[in-house]
Amino acid sequence: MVSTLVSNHSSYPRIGETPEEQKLRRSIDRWEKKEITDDEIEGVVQGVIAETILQQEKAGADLVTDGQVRWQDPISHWMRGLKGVKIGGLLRFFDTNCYFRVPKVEKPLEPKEESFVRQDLSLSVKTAKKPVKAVLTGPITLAFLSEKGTSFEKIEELIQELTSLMAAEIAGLASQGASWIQIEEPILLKKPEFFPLLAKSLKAFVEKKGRSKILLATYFADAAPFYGKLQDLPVDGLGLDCVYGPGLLEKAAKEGSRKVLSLGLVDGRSTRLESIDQLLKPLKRVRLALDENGENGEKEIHLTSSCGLEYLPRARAFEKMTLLARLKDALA
Amino acid sequence: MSRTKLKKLGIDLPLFPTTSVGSLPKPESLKKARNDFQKGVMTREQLKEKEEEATRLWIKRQEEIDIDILVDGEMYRGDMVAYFAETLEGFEQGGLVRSYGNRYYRKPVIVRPVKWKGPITVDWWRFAQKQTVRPVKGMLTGPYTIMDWSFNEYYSDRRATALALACEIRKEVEGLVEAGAKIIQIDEPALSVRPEELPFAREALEICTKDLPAYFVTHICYGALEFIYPDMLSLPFDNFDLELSNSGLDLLTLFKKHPFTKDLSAGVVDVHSHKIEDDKVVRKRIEEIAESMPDNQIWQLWIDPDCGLKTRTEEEGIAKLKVIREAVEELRQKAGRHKMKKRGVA
Repeated sequence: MVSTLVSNHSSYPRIGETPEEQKLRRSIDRWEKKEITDDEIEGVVQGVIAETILQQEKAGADLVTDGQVRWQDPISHWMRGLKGVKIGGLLRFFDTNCYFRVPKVEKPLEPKEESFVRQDLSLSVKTAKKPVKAVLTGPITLAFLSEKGTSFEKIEELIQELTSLMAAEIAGLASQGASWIQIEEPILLKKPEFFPLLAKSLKAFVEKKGRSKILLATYFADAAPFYGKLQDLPVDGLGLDCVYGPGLLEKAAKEGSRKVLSLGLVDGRSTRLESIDQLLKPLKRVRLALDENGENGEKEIHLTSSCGLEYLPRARAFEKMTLLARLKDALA
Repeated sequence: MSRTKLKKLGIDLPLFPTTSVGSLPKPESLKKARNDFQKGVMTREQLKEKEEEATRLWIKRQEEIDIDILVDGEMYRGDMVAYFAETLEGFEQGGLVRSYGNRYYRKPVIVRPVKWKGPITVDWWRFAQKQTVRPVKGMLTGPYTIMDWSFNEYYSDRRATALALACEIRKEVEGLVEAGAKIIQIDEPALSVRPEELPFAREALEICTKDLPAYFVTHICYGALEFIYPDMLSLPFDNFDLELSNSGLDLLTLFKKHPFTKDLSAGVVDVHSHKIEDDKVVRKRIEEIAESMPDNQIWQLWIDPDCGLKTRTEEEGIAKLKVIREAVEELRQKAGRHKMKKRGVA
C-alpha cells in the first residue's frame, strides 16, 4: 500500500494583499528605519511563521514548513550564520526573477551561536498540528553560488567544510523534531560530476539524522536523465521537479522507486492552474509501480509543487496547495 | 563604429560619456502623491502634474551634475514591467511576489493576446527632451523581460509570448523614433538567465529594432553573463549597459578572453548600497574597465551606475551621480594631458 500526502515544498509567500497580510513587509521597513525594536520585529516574524503554517494546514498540507519566512534568500540565509562569511552583491537565483546575496567565504568557517533554521523549526513544531519538514540548501549549491576566498584551494574543500557544519545543523534539527529534513540541490543536475561528492555529504547527514528522514530535492532542471543515479544516493526520499522534467512521472512509473518520491506536480512558478484529470492518470501509474516494485523502502508519495511557492502571489499559492489536496482525494 | 552612427544621428559625445540606467529616486512629494492617488484622494491629472514636476527637477539636477545623456528618471513608473503591462492590452494586474529581501512587485498576468493601444513612453520622452538641449534616452522594457517577468496564462510557450510582445513593443520604438529620440534603451535584465533562449530573444529584439534610425542600448544586470557572452554581442544593440561594480568587475575577465566589440556603458557604482563610493575607487574602476577594452578603445566606453537608482534616497542618488561625474572629469583631463604630451606640448 502506498500512502500519499500533500507536502509544502519549502517556501510560502510571506505577504498577501490585505493590510494584515502585509504586516511583515511594513514591519521590516520600520525596523530598518529603527522605528521598532529587535524584539518587536522578532515577534512579527514569529507571528507570520505561525500564520503561514496555518495557511498550509488550511489548504490541506499533511507536511508543513516554516515557509522560509525569515530567509533573505536560499543562499545567504544559512551562510550568514557562519563566522568567516561576508555577504556580497546580488545575483539572480537560477532563471528566476529573485535574487540572492553572494556569500564570500574564507577559512576558518565556524557556526555562530544561534541558528535561525533550528529556532524557526522549533517554533514550527510547537505551532503546527501536522509534521514539519525542515529545509536547508545543500553544500554543493551553496559552494557553487558562493565566492570562494583564496584560503580554499578547491571547491571540493569548501563543500567538505560546509558538509561538516551542516551535519551538526542536521543533528540539531533532528533533535528539535523535524519529521523530514529536505536538502535542496538545484545545482546538482547542472553539475552531475558532483554526484559522488554529494553522496559523501549525504552519508554524513544520514549519520546525524536521528529519527528524521532525509529528502534530497532537485529543481529548475530535468532530473529524468539522472533518475538511476538519484536512486543510488543514501537518502530516504527524492524531490523531483516534474515541470522541468515532464518525463519524470513516466520514468517513475516504468522504473519504480526505492525512495519516497516527492513529486513536484504543480508549477510553483506559473499562475496557470493544473488539471487534476491530467495529473491523475500518470500519478496512478506511479503509485501502482511503487506498490508492485517497491522494495523494502517506504512506499510513500508526496504531492508537492515543482519548487518553493514564494514565486507565486499568496492567494494563488494557496489555490495550488488546495489543488494538490484535491488531487490526493481523487487518488484515494 | 558606433561613434560614427551617433555622429550621423547628430550626437557628438565627449570621452567617457556619462548617463544613468533609467530610474531615479522619486521625491517625497511624488511618493505621497502616488499614495494619495492609490487611496483615491488625488486625481490622475493632479498626479501627472507631480510626475512632471519631478521629471523637470531631475532633468535640472542631471544638467547641474553635468551628465551627458539624460534620462527622464521614470517618475511615472512603479515597476519596469508592470508599467508596460498596465498600458498594453492583454494583461491583468497580478499579485505581489518577492524579488529579494523585503522588495516585492506586482507580477502581471498575460490572459489575452497582447496589443499596443497607443504611445506608452513617447509623451514622457517628449516632455523630458523639451526641458533640455542634451540628448534624452528613450526608455523601454524589452519583450523578453516582459515575457519572463510576467505570468503567462494565454500563449502556448515562451517564444510565442516574446515574439507577440516584440511586435507590439516595435510600435512603441517607432513612436519614439518618430518623436525624435536618437538614443533608445531597451532594457533586458532577464536576458542572461536562460542561454538556450538567446536565439529567440535575438529574434524578438530584431523585430523591435530592425531598420530603425536610432542608436540602441540595452541594459542587462544581476545575471550570469558568462553563459551568454560573447554570443550576446550579436544582439541588435550598439551599446550594452552592464552592472560591473556589484560583481567586483568580474566581467573583465570575460572581456579579456573575448574582446568586447560593441560600446559598453559600464556600471561603476553600487545602487543597492547606501554608501557613496570614493571618487578614487570609481576612477580606478573606470581605468580598469578601459584597460580591458580591445586595443584600448576607450571611445567605446560610457559610464553610469550599475542599475536604476530608484531604491536610493534623492541625496544618495545625486551623490552617486556626482561621484561618477567627478571621476570621469579627472580621467578626461588625464587623457587630455596624455594627448598633449604625445603631441610634444609641455
